[in-house]
Amino acid sequence: MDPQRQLISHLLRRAGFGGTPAELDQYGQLGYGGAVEQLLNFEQTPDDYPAYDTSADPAKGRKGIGQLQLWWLNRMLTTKRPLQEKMTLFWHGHFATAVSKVNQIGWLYNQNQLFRQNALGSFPTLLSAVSKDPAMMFWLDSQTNRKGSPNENYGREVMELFTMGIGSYTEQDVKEGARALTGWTLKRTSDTSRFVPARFDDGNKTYLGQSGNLGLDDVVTILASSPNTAKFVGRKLARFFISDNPDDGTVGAIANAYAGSNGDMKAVMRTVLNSDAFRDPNNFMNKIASPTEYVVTNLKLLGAKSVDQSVLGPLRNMGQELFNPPNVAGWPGNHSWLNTDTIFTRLNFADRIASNRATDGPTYVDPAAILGGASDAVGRFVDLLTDGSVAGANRQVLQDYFSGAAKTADAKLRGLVHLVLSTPTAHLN
Amino acid sequence: MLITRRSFLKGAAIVTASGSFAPSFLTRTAYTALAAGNNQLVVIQLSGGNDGINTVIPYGTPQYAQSRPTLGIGQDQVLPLDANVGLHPNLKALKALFDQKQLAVVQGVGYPNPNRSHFQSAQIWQTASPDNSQQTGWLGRYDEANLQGERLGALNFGDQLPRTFWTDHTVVPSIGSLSNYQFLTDPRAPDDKQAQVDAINKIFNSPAGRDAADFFRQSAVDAFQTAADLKTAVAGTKSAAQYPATALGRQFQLVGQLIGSKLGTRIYYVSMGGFDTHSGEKNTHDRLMLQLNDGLDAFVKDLQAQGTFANTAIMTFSEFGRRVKENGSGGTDHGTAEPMFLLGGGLQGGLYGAYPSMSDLDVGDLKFTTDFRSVYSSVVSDWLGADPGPVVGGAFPKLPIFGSGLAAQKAA
Repeated sequence: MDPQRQLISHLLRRAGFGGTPAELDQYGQLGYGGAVEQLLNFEQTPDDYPAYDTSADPAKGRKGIGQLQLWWLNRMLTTKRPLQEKMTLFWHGHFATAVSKVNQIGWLYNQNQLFRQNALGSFPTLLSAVSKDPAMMFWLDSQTNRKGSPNENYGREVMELFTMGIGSYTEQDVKEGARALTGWTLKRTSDTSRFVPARFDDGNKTYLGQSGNLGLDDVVTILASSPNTAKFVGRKLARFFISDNPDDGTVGAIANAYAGSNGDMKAVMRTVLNSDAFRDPNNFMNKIASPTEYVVTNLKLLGAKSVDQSVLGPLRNMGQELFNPPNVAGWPGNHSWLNTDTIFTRLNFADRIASNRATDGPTYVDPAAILGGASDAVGRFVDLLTDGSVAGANRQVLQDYFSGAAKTADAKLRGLVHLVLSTPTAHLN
Repeated sequence: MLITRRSFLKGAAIVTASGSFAPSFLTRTAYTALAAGNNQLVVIQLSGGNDGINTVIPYGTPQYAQSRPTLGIGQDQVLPLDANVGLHPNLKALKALFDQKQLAVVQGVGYPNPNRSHFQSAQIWQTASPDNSQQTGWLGRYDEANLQGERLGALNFGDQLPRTFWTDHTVVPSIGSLSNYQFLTDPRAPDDKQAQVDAINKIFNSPAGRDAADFFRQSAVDAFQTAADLKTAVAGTKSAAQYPATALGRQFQLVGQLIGSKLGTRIYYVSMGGFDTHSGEKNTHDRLMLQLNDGLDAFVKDLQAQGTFANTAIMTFSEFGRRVKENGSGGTDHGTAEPMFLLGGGLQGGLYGAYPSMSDLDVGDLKFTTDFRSVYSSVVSDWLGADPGPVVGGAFPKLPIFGSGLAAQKAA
């Protein structure tokens, strides 16, 4: 594969859900810098994806979450604003909130929209909104945190997992922070939150070295402006977008972009995507694709029109149920996606989409149409699905398989797609 | 929370920076049946921080009822173990096992300078390293030192491998459900199956080069071989007990089948989540205790019917206990020391360690009386018959839980 095309494909895999050949042409014409700007300035691209109608879904809790998962997966599959969707997924993993406890589909949808609206906005603004978000408040018990009866759950996790990271605060800060966060509670009838002065602990608090009658906005300001937050968020972005083991120089540059812009995520992500480390070919196809990335990207590249609920079970068994992360720390990612069980689920999902011949089904794919009469079927699918990274002896194995005896050409071609999707590099991005 | 967070930053460095990773990995694929009849260990991780004070209840201490005005369990409901402590009312099967001296309750288990973060404290229990000096897991180190070349020496049940099994050189298999645990091909082209299987085997058996790709490849090799071994092992086995239809029940049932198959696996690891009861704890915790009790009840009956209970030890732990005083939301916040259960037909049941004081507290939390590494040392030394030093990172006083357990195994 041409190196420039490979770079654009890498960009679209990491900053989106992969690029079809047409998208690689289109972004390629902008040059790398232009392609990055197109992704960052997504608000210039119209978005006509319909809103999710929470009233139309009678099922509550985990039973109803499937429809919302499909709404989001289809949005990822079809979006013309790939980075906005990828950042939404990043924030979902960062501010991980699960239906297993929250049970309210509408709250989770509203939170998802919050992530989308603030995808590349101001981190302090997002942190403030998340701290008052009904789904998050219920998830980490903020609504029960009141004067004289503090609940430390949100106060601890906001420091440990959402901003500064462990080691940069004391147990006393946890207690004082919880007091400062009192007063905010849920207004269930309108799915919103509100401040109730009588619930607020208006005494003096000392939090991370600052004293006074501190409240939620003070906590947000103190945390969002901490250099520890710049580093913590910077490292997390680097691990999500660049490499499992980002170098300190790259992380430092991202943290500087955060500190220099007061947490403007567009400026931060411009630094991420233009960094030498991001563009280093050694980092191409060298991160384990998350289950969502594996499923959405491959269905997209194979031309599926939409996804239906047949993908939800496999996603769960691969270890990623959207809106239901395992805990408040989100999905640990990277190598933890793989174990002997999730490997089988991935390979068997690949078989399922490759051998699905129900032409009216939304996940139907037509390998013969993709091949379009070209002679090198192995090369065509290896380029499409792995950016050409199956080489040498393994490419020959695929060639030998494809040249072998077959009852029908259709079965052989579908078998080839299954095998390409089963190769190690097909599970990377 | 359900599953332990894995910080892969360091884990990945271990795996990928180690030049000897690939060959070691491959040596373990030479699976030979383990000698049956050895003692085995089943670990149950209770994720989220189990409320130990409402599990092993200090009902004889006035501070208990005072600290738990709404969550306190009445003396008349507690299943007494002695005049001071008793079990949660839903732990009836455990009470029966205690009466038969087949349940050991270790009280007040913890470690110095307790960490109240789920993830950090779980990591401390899983690595047996309160100072975070160890990156690998304690059972991973046991596995590597004692079960080398025995790929099925340890098995995890669930879709994530807990840090407990992390090692430098080996990968412990993880199993969700057996029906999915095979390489499926196009159902409309059965004649093409062998060609696909041959091709994928060739691909998985040649080095894939890049770090992440080779990690996938090695994991896939392990998956294929484990699948073949397990398929052989469970063929024709049946459960001798009716298991509850819970996630824990299903995990126990499969473990029961594998123990019954005499596969020879030494370590089994299952997990149960939902213990992070910051609010509305009463109903949640009652239900969790019932699920734990019913799952264990079926599992123990199955093993007893198989005649394998005598050489099985079952051990529970959680990343921490919970605060003495309940909070304002009918729940409890993160705490410290907790009780551990050890069950088995070959151990000495009873109460071990001292229940921590309910009045002499460390900022509202219990002060631990037994280091968890003492429990681990007892298991490794007196039940699994291995040197505990490198596994738990030092010498810790042992508890006489397995007085004759290892002796019985050696005599058998």
